[in-house]
Amino acid sequence: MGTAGSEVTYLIAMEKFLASIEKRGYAVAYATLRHREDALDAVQDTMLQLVRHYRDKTEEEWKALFYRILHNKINDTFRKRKLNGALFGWLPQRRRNADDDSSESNDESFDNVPSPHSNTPEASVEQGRQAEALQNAVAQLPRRQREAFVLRCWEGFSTIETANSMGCSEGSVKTHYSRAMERLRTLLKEYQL
Amino acid sequence: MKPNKQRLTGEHLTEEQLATALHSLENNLDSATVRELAERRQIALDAASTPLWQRWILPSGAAFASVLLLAIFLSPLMSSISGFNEDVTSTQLSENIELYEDLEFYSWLANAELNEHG
Repeated sequence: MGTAGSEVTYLIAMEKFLASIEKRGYAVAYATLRHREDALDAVQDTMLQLVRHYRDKTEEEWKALFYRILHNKINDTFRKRKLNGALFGWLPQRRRNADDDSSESNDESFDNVPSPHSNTPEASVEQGRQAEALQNAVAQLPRRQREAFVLRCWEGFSTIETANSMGCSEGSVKTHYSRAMERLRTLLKEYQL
Repeated sequence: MKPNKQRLTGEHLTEEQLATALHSLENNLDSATVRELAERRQIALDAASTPLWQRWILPSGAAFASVLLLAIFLSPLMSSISGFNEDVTSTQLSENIELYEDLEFYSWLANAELNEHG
């Protein structure tokens, strides 16, 4: 009875946590992978791994674990893409993309509908353009810089929390993060945010 | 949160501006993606509440069934091979007996001829 009760409590807490983080997790994965299905798969695999293998961890540790797993899944996807490219790179582009056609057409994961702050169609278009530019810029960051940037700027982790999640020293986090900011400033030079 | 009214270029981008822009990405997800995320979350939670033995029963059952099928498929083949071996052995045995009998006959014949002439 006690075990069943704790199981229910765990599942409720985990569901609440996942519901609170899944959109951001997806946005991070999408900004990096630039493919809807790949991003959804990365988030689902992350959720599965978290709920299956980290039951013994406290709720305070879940967020750092979630991002650590997510970044690993994103890197796995990049590795798979690289391998596919090496194996099937000789195939004509049209054939290789045959499976992706359906998902490509749905790849507009981010609404370009006007937000509460943008009332005109021009503002809406501008917002869509900015979002696209921002995602492109994030996708261009090197892996460690991107991880540091996502955790520090997007998720608001402290330097020490980021270091724990990335498995490196605080000094490395500071270096990666400042380089990421510098690169983003360069990449987004022509845009107004 | 205040709407981002400042129109600074990326060159002077502050962390706050960048964070605001990033958060607007996740807030502008389309409804299909939001729905799919919720479905995938449910799948993950269902998998978590499934006991370990239930997760393994299907793959182990499939493995057992394939081994059983292989055994059923191979058993007539094996028995026909062993039957063939048995046939070969019995044929060889009967041939050998005839040969021995013939040898005895020829040996007796030779002895009889020797005795006759001797």
